[in-house]
Amino acid sequence: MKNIYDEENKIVLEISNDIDVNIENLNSIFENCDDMVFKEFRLSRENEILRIYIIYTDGLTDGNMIENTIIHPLQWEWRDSKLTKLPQQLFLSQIETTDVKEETNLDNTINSVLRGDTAVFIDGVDKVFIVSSKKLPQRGIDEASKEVVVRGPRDNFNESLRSSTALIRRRIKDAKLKVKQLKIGERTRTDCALMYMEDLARPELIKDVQDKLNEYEIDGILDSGMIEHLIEKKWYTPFPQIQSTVRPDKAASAIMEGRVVLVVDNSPEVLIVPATLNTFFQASDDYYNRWPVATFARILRYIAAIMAIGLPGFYIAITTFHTEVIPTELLLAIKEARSAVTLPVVLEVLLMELEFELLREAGIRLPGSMGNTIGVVGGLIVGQAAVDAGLVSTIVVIVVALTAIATFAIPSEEFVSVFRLLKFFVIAACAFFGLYGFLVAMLFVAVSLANLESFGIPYMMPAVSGANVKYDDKKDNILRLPLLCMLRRPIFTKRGERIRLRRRK
Amino acid sequence: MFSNNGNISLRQLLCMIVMETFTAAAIIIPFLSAKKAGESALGAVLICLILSILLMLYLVFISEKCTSLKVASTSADDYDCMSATGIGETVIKSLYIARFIIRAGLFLKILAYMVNKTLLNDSKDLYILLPMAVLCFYVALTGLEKRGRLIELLFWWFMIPIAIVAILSIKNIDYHYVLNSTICNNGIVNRYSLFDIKAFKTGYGLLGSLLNIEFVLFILPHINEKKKKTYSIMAIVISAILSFAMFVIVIGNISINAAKDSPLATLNIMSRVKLPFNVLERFDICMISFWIIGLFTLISGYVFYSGRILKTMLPRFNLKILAAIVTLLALIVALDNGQVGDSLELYYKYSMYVDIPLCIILPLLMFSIKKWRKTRTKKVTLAIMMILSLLSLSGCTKIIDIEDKDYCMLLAMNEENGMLRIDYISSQGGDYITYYVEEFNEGKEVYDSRNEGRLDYGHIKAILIGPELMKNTDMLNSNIYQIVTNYSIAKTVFVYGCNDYDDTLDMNIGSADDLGDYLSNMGKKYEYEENISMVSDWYYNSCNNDIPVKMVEDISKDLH
Repeated sequence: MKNIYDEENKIVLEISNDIDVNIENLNSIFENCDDMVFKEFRLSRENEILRIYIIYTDGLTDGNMIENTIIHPLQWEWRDSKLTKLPQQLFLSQIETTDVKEETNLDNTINSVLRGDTAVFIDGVDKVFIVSSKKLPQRGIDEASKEVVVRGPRDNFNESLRSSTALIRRRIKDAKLKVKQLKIGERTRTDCALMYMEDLARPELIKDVQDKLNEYEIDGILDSGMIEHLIEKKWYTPFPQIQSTVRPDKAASAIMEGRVVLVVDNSPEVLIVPATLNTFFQASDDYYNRWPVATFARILRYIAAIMAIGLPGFYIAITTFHTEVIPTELLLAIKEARSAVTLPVVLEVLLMELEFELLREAGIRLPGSMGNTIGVVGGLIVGQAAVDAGLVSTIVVIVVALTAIATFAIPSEEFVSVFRLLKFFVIAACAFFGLYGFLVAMLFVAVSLANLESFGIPYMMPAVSGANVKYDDKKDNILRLPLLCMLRRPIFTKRGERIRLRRRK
Repeated sequence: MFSNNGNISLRQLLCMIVMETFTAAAIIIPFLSAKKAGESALGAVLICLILSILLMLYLVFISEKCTSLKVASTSADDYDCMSATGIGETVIKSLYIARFIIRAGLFLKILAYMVNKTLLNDSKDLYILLPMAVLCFYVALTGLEKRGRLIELLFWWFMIPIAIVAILSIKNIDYHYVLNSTICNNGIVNRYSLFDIKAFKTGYGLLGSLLNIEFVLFILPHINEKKKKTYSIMAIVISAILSFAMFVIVIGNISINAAKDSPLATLNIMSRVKLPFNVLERFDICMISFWIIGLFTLISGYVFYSGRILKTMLPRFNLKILAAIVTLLALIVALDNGQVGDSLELYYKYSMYVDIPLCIILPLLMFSIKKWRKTRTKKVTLAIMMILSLLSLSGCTKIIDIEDKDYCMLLAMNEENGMLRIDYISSQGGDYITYYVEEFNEGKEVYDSRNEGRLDYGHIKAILIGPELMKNTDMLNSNIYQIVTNYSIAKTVFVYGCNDYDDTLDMNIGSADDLGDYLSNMGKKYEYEENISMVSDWYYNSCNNDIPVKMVEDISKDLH
């Protein structure tokens, strides 16, 4: 058996000028690959016969293009041409119609074929013509189902790398927007594109991202989430150190702030680095709505975050350890509500929280309409039944419902997941230590956040590292001041390029 | 990237010094100054704060001359002059470590006392301190830069609530308490000298509680700003002003006599503050949380620096191990069996003769040796340890669900046949439960043993004292002491006397209104006109038996 691959999974065979050798090699490489299409043509001119062999992947190529640009010209348009000039003619003529390049390496040729290109082997020629004939199956540009906004564009990225880069390019028509393409994954060879503004992004940031991407060898990348886990600095923290979005306007805005966007083929979510805590609280329509409304929404989101992480734990702490904190009337009401409940408060809260998490998970996995139904059934019927059965009190239902609502108010799904997880940590701490446990748990979260960095930027910027933060950076933090006040770009931008708004002279 | 430069900013420097110094001063100084200087406390505090500013000037000067004190860096390049040491240097570093561990232990002990008396009654100190020790250990593994960020983050979360409560407490200040004068019952005003020898001596001793300003020795080399000296001085001046304000508020609220008996004097003033709209029944419980943040930064600071200094002495050891050793030693110091008041007094003496002199001498010696080397540190996170420690503490505290408690609304006491009769009225219009006991504290034990629910004093609206008990001054005083030192009873509870004990209690039976609520409402309505006393009046007044107790019959004719 032939030794086809080396240790790095690269094809060691070479392109030969003998087409039979090439055919044999291709047959060995694509043995049992029934989705590959092989076609051989024999062109005869007087006594001469020229053998041509084409190969492409069924389903990834445009059949019409192959017919019009390769097969038809070979058989009809150049039937009077001399066979010795045919390779040159093929190359020159194809330039007029489509993208074609010469390739001398078999490994690259195979990669191109697997991406949807067509390879044309000609007998007696020790190179291959790669004709671009991609027609990949892809989704259209749908309305975003995540990160929904009231005002602003509705389009979102899809699984096609080129569509995604085009959506960003459509918004930033500047030659300084650079798109560096690279491949990750030894087997999947997934295309990725690094997008940034040449004059705004810090060079060390771009280098850092590239180094991180080249740091590991992995057999396959199936989604941007996998790259996110590879390039983040601290794998053990639950907090995301890289922002992801499905919204082209958000990605474009990040690029304009000097951040780097990483688009991954087959993934509708693009990655944005660096990320700070406050970026996860920013929604796209914050910048499209009027500033007092946007500011109010931001403040609400921060309150929601505190509720999402701490409300159930706080409830446990004050109802089991520090009842003296609760106003007497409310205390008696809670006592009355709990009089028929058999479970202790901690278990009651845990039961309801777990029920909610189960409902959420079930709602996501089920198809659209059924997912909605399970939400209603879970929320109304199971909740009411649990109260009637004396498993939980009405107050706990309210606490869990408020916590759930709070999680929905935060725009970033990956960030909310962390809160949902930490909520159980706070519940455990409060169950053991009451308010002291609540405080220790919160301090633990604060210490973790203060320790985090995203590509060299402190995670809590601009709340910390005051020496590096100017007043302008705080204009887009918890408060979102009017656009006319935000004259400078955030801290991510290269020094000397911070001005983003000024009056025309 | 710019954030990985191993340096901290001037703002972070300011936050660090102010937060740590203010926490230590606010918690320790009112108690120790009252205890040691008595009526000269004001002078002692002023002297202490002036001395702290002078000490800061001295330390800043030394730090500038001895720029190789980069013990806290995370950058490997900063550690090329710290490892191999001579005997002198080893001794100096060992002394620093020992002193820092002692102080960390002291503040851990204060923390345990604070939590034990307020948030987690009757829990073992070890259970309280273990999570905090793990947290401090976690911080000790991070770099100075990240510690700076953390304190910058916590600074306003700590300062704003404290400031609000302090401002709300201002209205209760009695300036006679502060301005070295007391008005006795006969109206004679006694004045005391502001600066006497006792004031000077105590002021010097109190400086021991502010020795965290030594941290500047290790912080300043990590700041590359010209204004770092100015900011250091500014920070200590701000801390001094805040600490002085807190002293005035505490002493002005509770008097020197009360402050000297209470290591938690600063916390007690907060029990008088009420939030508008009755949002929280007891705001002081939440305020304790903010003090815990302050103590955390202070303790973590001591663990952080002692761990780093130890690392410079033993560069081959992993920082994790060294920080764990330091944390463990601080924990052992904190778990000493003594009372916190005694520990503070012991520390006061230790400061006078050992800690303060060393604080002055050691930097001078260090300045002369100047042989620091650099070591490489590695940053490690042990988040999982925190969770494991919490899980391993299953059942460490007595968790009681809300419905398993009986909330006492009115507490009534009288003397009958030489015994203390206690009556608990726990629900609206219900009967009262009577027990005959030797003393007040025994009442709860008897109640808990004979009833399904656990007695909770957290919602007492009023205390009623019967005529016989009012005549028996000794019994009244001893029981009042137990009431005022019971943290679960709010200091704002109104206290009434009555001429006909049983008739008054019978008013609650079958009544539409709760008697406790009724008396509480009457108290709020006529608090100033009728001079109705509260538990706080007993607590804060030096002469308990002189507090006038208003008779129920005088307040409301309608009731009868």
